[in-house]
Parts: sequence; C-alpha cells; structure tokens
Amino acid sequence: MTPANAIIVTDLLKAAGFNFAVTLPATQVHTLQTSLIESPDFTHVAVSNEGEGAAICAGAWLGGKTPFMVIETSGILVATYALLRCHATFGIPTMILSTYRGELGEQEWYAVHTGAAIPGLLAALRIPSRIVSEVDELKTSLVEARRSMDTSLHPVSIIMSGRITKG
Amino acid sequence: MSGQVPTMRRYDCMVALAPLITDHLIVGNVARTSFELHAVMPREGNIYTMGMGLVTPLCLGLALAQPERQVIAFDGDGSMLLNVGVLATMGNTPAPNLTSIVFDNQSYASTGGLPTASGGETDIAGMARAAGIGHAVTVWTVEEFMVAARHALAGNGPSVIVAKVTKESPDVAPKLMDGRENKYRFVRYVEETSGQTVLKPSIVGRKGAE
Repeated sequence: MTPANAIIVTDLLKAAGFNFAVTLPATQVHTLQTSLIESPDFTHVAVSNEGEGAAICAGAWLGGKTPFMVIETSGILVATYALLRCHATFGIPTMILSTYRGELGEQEWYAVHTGAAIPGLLAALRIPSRIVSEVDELKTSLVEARRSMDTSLHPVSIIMSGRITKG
Repeated sequence: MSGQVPTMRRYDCMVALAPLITDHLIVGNVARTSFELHAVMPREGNIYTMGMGLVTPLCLGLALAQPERQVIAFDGDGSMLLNVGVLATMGNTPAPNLTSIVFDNQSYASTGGLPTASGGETDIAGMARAAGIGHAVTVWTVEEFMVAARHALAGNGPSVIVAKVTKESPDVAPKLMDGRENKYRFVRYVEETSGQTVLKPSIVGRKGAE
C-alpha cells in the first residue's frame, strides 16, 4: 500500500469509529500498520500470532473498544480457532482487515492456495466478508462493517485486493 | 525438573484471593477452573469457560480497554502453553493492570491427566521473565500466592503468577449459563461500573444516533 493510501485508510478507520488496532506485519500493508502505530487515535497492540490477536480484540470489545486486526491473508487461517471458540461462541464482534494474496494474478506460488481458500473459509465461519478493490470503496465498507459488528455481534471481514495494497 | 511436588489447591488460592476482589474483571479457563471460580466468587464481572490459549490474550485486550481497573486471568498451564507467544506480547505492551494467574497442575488434568511441559523441564515463569515481564514468579503455598497477588493487584503488572497446584478439585457444580448469556451479563456489568456503552445495536449510521 502506498504511504498516501495508508494515511487515507487510517483516517477512514477512525471515521468509521474504530479505535483499537491489532497488527502482525504483512508485506502489502506494512505502511498501513506503521500509520496505525503512529496514530494517536488508536490503541495499538503488536502481536506475534493472529489467534492471539483475535482474542485480544475480543477482550478489547468486551471493555468498550471497537477493535480490528490488520493482517495478511494466511493470518485468517491462524485466527480461525479464536474466531470460533471465542467470538462465535460468546457473540463477540471484531473486524478483520486483510490482504488478498492468492487472488487472480498472484505472482507467488506459496500464496496461491491459502488465498484461494479464504472466501470459502470465511463463509464456513459465517463471517460476512467483502472484497474491496478501490480505496474509495473502503469508506462505505468500513462504516457498514462497523454497523454489522454492532448488530450481529459477530466478526466481519474486509479483504483488500492487491489493487489497494500493492504499491 | 525441580522434583518439588505441589501441595496447594487451586480452590484454596481462589478462596484466599476472593476478599481482595471488588470491581475486578476475571476470565476463567475451561473446565474446573471456571467451575471453581463460579463456586468461590460468582460475580457478573466474570467470564467463564474461555477457550484454551485465549484466556490471557483476552485479558490483555480487556486491560487495555479498561485501564482504570484490574483484570485477572485464571489461566492454566496447558492453556498458556497453547498460545505462549502472548507472553512476548505482554512483555512489550504496557498493561500495569493485568495479572495472569497460571494455575499450574503440571498436567492436562481435565482430559486424562497426561503431563504438560511444565511437569517436565519447562518453567513458565522463567519464560515470562525472558519475554520481558518484570513481575513473573512461581509460588508453592497460599501464603506465597497472596504475597504475589497483592503485589500484582497493586498495579505492578503486567504480572504472571505461576501457582503450582495439585490436580485435586473439589466437587463443585458448573454454572448453568452459556457463553452468550455470560457475555451479556458481563458487558452490562462493565457498562454499569464504567459508565461506558458497549452494546450499541442498530444505532450506528442512523441520523442523530452518534
């Protein structure tokens, strides 16, 4: 993601009401993660495992925060246990903002199969998700993700296409 | 391996700790840890039966969201070892109001009793100290446990207290409440005691709602 887009997305997250960020560094969104770390508008936690990160988000929500994770595509696989055993079981929302490695045009062989599994995995987890391809689409999508969190008390997911995250 | 055999019970640690609990938020591990938590101190500010590996991470998020009050994880050795990376996150995240009590019976007691790594060579408190957690101790008696707990709950966290306990568990009944009801009651307790609004169904985005 370009530094300019990272700042735009940071502002959109704030405007949508998010205020608690969990990150685990990922190639295509490290600029966004840096922007979140530097922003005074978010409580930020750097984690070493997305499952741990999901549980931290759950605790933050129980304490009154509006949490989200910025992670790479395969991080959703790592977070699956927490998303089911904690979020789905207790009814706790969190927003997952991820990259979309493995989409059409993927250049790295090791990313193909994890990415291909993600839409089906999210469907199996009954996590509403949207693939967003333009930064301009994110504004509405983040507001709607926040609304779904509040009404469904269940995780939601926005997958950012490489058209947003590359560069 | 120290060769020392635990003699104190998890239940007795909870009984000793109970008089110190006021508006604390407590999250209990699966199985008998949560049964005992409910038996000793049934409170609206408790979450029961959180999943293995998720107890201390969830408490870290709670502690950051509620910095004015103490948050306590009633974790276990098997649970901590399942997601042990959280120690590194705790070691690098300022959360003076977080205490993780690891009731270490050195076994997977609820699922047949086979040993955990802490029943062998692994020192969970040592791992916590190496991860950057300043107050991380192992205790063998209720008296030692209470010294560590008083220090931790004075806001000297993040703390990890590894309480070496027996596999013994008194015959207490599980609470008759599922996770959804538990969540609602807990959140209402947080709202009432903090003045914050957590549950906001169907208001975001509506004109005049925010």
